[in-house]
Amino acid sequence: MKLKKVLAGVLAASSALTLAGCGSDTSSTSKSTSSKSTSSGAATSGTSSAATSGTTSSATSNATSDTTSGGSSDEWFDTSIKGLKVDESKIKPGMKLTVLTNRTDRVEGTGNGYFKEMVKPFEEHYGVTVEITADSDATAVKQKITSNLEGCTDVMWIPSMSVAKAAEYFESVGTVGELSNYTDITNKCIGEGDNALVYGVPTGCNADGIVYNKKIWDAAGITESPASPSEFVADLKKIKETTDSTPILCCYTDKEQWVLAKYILLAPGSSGDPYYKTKLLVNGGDLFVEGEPYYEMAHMLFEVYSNDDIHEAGASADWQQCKALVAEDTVATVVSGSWAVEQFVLGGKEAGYDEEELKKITLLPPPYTAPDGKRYASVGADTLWGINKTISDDQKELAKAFVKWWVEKSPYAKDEGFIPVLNTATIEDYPESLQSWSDIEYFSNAQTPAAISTTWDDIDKASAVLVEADPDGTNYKNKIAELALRHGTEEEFKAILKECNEKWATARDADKNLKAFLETEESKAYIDERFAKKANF
Amino acid sequence: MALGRKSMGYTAQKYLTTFLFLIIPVVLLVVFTLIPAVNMVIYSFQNREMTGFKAWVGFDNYIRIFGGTSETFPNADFGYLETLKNSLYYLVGSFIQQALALFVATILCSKIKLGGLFKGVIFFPYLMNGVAVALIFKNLFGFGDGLTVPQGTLNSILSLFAGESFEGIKFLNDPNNPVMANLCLVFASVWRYIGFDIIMYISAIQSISPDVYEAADLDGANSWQRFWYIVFPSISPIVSLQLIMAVKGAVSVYEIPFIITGGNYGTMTFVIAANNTAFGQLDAIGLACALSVVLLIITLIVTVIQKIAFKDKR
Repeated sequence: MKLKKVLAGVLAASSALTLAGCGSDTSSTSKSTSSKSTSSGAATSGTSSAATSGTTSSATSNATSDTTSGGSSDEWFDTSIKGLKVDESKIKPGMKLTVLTNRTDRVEGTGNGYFKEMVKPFEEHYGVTVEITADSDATAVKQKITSNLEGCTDVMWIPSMSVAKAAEYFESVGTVGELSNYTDITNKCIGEGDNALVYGVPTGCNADGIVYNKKIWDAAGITESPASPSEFVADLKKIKETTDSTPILCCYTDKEQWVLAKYILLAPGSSGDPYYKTKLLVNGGDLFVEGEPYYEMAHMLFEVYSNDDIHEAGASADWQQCKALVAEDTVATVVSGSWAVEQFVLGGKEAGYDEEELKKITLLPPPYTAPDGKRYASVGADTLWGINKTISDDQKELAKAFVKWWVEKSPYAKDEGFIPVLNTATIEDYPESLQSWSDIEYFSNAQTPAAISTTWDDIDKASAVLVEADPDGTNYKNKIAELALRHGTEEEFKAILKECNEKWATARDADKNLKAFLETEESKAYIDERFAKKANF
Repeated sequence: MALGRKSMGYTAQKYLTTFLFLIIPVVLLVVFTLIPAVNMVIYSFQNREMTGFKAWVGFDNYIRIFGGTSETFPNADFGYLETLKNSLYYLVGSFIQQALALFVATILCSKIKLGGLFKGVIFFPYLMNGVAVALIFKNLFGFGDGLTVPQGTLNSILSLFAGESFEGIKFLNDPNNPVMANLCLVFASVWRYIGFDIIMYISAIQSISPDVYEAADLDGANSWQRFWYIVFPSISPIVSLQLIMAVKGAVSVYEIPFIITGGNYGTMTFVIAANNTAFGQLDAIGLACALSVVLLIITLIVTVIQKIAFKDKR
C-alpha cells in the first residue's frame, strides 16, 4: 500500500517536472533552411528596404569637408573614408562578439562555413572571437527582438520594420553626414538632412535587374538589352522561336510568390528619380499610370504570364532547381536582383558546371527607359546591420568596429557579388554581372523628408495595396498573375490596377502626416508635373 | 492513512484533495488558453504590429472585416468575408462525410470477417500527421510542367489509360477552375477525418443493447426499419455533436489548403487569410485577432442554433 503511494507521488512529481522542462526558454537562433529561403529573406528585407522611402544619396553628398573620420582609428582603417567612428581604446583582446546574419547558407552547420573563414583577419587584429549564427526567418527574428533584446546577439540584421521601431532596439551609429561614404545610409535614419541619426548600416548593396543566361540570349541573336517591357517580351518570344530553351521561368507557386514582387521592385529604380516615391505622395498622383514605371512593370508581369509559350509557370518550381536549370541552358531568364547572380552561379557550381562557363549568368538592367530617354538603375542596401542597444559600451565599440571592418575591409561584397557599400568604389569593384552595363546610370534613392518618413509604409498598409511587398495570395500581384494565367483581357488587368489606385488614393487622402506636410513650404520642392495627372484608364 | 490526525474532517479532506488534483490542469488551462484568449480579444481592439502596440482603434478592425470604412482603414474590403464562400465546399463535404461514416459504421457493426482490421485501417489516416497527409495529396494531385516539377501521381495513372498526348489535368492550379481545386482539397479533408467519425459511430451503435434488436426482430422489422427507428434515435446526440464540429471545421479549415495550395487559385480560406494578415506583409496583428474573434462568434452562433434545433427533436 505504501509503495503504491510512493510510486504515485514519484509519477506525479516527474510529470510535473517534465512540464516545467517543456516550458524552458529555447533560444535557437539558427534554423536549418536552404539557401532558397535565404534568397527570399534577402529579397524581402533587402530590396524592399532599398525601395522604401528613406535612403541616402551619398553619391552626391561629398560636400562636407570634415576630414576627421575616426576618433582614434589607427592605420588599419583608412582614415580618409568617412565612416563609422570607433573608439578602439575600449576594445580589449579576449572579448567576444556575437553576430546574427540572415545568410544561413554561409555559416557552419547549415551552410558552407564561409563566414568563419572570412572574419579571421578581424579576429586576429583585435585578438577577439566572433561567433556568427544565422536565421533568415524575419518573423522569428522580429519576435526575438521585441520580446528578449538582451538575449539577442550584439550585431544583427534588421528585419523589415519601421525606422521608429528600429530606433527603439538598435543603437545609433552616427549621423548621415559622418557616414557620407556609405551608400544608402538613409535607409534607416531619423532626423533632417546630414544630422539625421543612422540606425542601420548596409551589409552590401544591390542593383535591380533581371538575371539572364547570356549564352542563350546571344544564341537567339539579341545584342542589346531590352529598353522597354514590350521589347523584353519580344526578346523572350524570339528566344522561344530560335532556341529550344524556355525563355523565362516564372516560379509562381505558393512557396515562391515573392518572385512576383521582383517585377514591381524594378520600377522605382528604373524611373531615374531619387525622389520618385516622395513626389508620388506629394503630388497626389495615382500609383499606376500608363507609361509610368509601376504600371509598366505590372504590365510586363501581365504580358509575360499571359503568353503561355514563353514561360513555364511551374506548379511548384523549386528555387534551387531554377538555379540548376539556368546553368544548364534550359532556362534563359529569371526576374530577380543582382544578389541572385552569385546564388545562381553557386547553384550551377553545385550542379557540376565549371566557373568559366557560369560567367554567362549575368544581369539585365531593368527594361524601362525614363522620360528623359536615359536608362537608370537604383543601388540600394541589401540587409542592414544593427547594433543591439542593450549591450555594454565596450561591446558597442567592438560591434561598431566589426561593422566598420565589414563595410570597409572585408571581402564580403566582392565574394558574394554585392555592390560595395563604400561609394568610393570604382566600377571594377562592382560585381562582374554589372560590368557590362555601359549605358546605365546608377543612383541611390534620396532621403525622404523627416515629416513623412513613414508615410509610404503607413499608406501601403492602411490601403492594403502592399505595392512592393511579397504577395500572400490575395495581393493585387496574385490577381494579375492568375488573371494572366487564365488569359484575361487587358480591361480586367486595368480594372485591378484601377482598384489599387482608388484604395491608395483614399488612404493617402486620409493620412494626417501627409496633410500636415503638404501645408509646409518644404513640400513645394517636390512638385513634379509628371505626377500631377490622375489615371484615366 | 494517518488515523491520528483528527484536525481535518472527511469533507475537508475531500475538498483539499480535489483542489490539489485540479490545480495543475486549471493553471495550465488559464495560462495557456484563457489568458491568451483574453489577450486576443484585447488586441482585436488595437492597431497592433509584430513589433508592438500602436494605437487603440476600438471597433475599426471589425468594421473593416464587415466591409465598412473607418479612420484606420479608409478602404472598404470584402475580401475576408468572401473566403467564407470556400468554407461552403467543406461544409457540404462534411455532410457527405457524416452520411458515409454512418453507412460504413453500420456495416462494420454487423458480423463481418476481419472487422477489427478494417476499423484499424480506416482510423489510421486520422492518426497520421496532418502535414504528411497534405503532402501526400499535394503529390497526388500535382501537375508536372516538364521542367522542374515531376508529374503528379493521379496524372501519371491517368496518362497510362489516356495515351501519349495526355498532358495532365490541372487539379490544383487551374486558374480557370477554382471549383476543381476546392473539390480536391475537400476530398483530402474527408479522407483524413472520416476515420474518426466512423469510430465514434461504431462505439455509439455498439452501445445499443441487443435486447432492443431482439424485440424488433420479433416484431418483424427489416434492416431499414431497424436502422431508422432504433439506431438513429439512439445516436442522435452524437450526430448533433458531429454537425457542430463539422461547421466549426469547415469555417476554420487551415492545414490542408495551406500546405497543398497556400490559398492560391481560389482556395483561400478564412484562417489562411487571418494568418497572412498577422504574419505576412500587412503585419496587422489587431486585425488578425479581430478575425479570430469573428470566427469564434460564428461557431458560437452555430452551436446555439443547433442546441435549440436538436432540443425540440429530443
